[in-house]
Amino acid sequence: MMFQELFQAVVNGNAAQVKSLCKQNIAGGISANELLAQGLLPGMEEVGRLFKEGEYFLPHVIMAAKAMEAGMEMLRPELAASDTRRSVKIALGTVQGDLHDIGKNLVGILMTGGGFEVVDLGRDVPPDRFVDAVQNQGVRAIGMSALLTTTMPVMAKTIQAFNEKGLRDRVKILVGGAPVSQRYADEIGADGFASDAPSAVELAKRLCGTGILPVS
Amino acid sequence: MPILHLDPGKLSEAEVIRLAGGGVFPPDSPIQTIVKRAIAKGHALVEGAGAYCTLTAIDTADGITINFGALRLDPMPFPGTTRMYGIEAAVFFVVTIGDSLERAVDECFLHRDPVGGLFLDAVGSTAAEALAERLTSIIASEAESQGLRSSSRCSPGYCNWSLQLQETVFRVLDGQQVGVELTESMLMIPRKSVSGVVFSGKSLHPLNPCLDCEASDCKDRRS
Repeated sequence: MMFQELFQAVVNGNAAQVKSLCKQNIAGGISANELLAQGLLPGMEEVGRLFKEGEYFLPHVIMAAKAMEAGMEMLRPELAASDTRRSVKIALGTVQGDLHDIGKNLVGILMTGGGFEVVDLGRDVPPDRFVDAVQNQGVRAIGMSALLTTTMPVMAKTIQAFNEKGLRDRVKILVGGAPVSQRYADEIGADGFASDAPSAVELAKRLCGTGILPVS
Repeated sequence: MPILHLDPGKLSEAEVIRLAGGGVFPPDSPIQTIVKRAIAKGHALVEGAGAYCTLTAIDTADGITINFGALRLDPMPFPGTTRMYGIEAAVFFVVTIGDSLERAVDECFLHRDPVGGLFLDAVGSTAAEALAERLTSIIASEAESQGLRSSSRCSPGYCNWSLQLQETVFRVLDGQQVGVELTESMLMIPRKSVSGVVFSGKSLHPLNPCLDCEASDCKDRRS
């Protein structure tokens, strides 16, 4: 019942209620792991389903992700102490020459809601900064965004930089943005393309396992 | 080139919701409240400005030739175009909402209000398009007073036009006078700006660039 209530609060995008339910249940002796596995994560899965079926739209998904994030804030200390789950780190950036970052910011919020740890590289990001995030910050996936046909080629240059450094097999590469397509992603050798922010989270989960991995 | 101060007028809630990926209209109640708030806030932040410049032009089977001082910009890139338009003039324009709204969007994300930021950004896009409509209707009225008919507006990056054409538009206009700069990657700053060209002529064939475009699934297609 308590999990159902938490699940519903995530689906409704009610951050205050999610926060209060998590706090209350932790005080009542329910483990953070259970709250995550039986309340928060299924709630976000349901939101993803509703979005795919056209019942939910982008603002609803963002509100749910914010609610999930509020819950995670309450659970994080216990999860960290129990050392049973760790988040996958993903670096996001708008490529060099491009300053459009709304899409990238929304992907970041939904990725956090999906349990990923987001390293926001910002906008106008040159290839070597993506490489550095993988090399030195424990990042396992990168998401590149471009809104202009003139800046799309930087995505290819970034992948080339990973190849040159011998790091390509250490990172999953996601691309997106208005002029980008699956065909372009295939052409430049990206691991995947997402046409919108919720799909980017689905794609990242498919490529990396899930946002939050059990520690084996 | 005179700078015009423009007001976007009443902004369409349905358009703001569409651009924000907000789905059906009318939206559910919480979203409706957020949209109304974003429109009120956004409208107050719009610093609408625009400018335009009219040049003589000739269309031939090879394209459209613009006379720009001693410089001949020839041909205009209309890939796949088969129509003859009867063009006599090309009016280059740029409008912008300024950068205050963009800064407010950044603030929203900084203060963890992504939904507010998303809708405010959509208000900015709606306002920029509204300003472009305002300016093109001014251009059309002026042409009409000279007995000329006007085309729809076309922008670099749309209508099968390369984004590189932005450079040409800015060479003609000197966008900095209106407070718009062009980066090396052809990005306009402030981002919520619209540039483009309107054609006019006495016997202008009603120009709908969408009819020559193969992108039949384009969300902005004018059928």
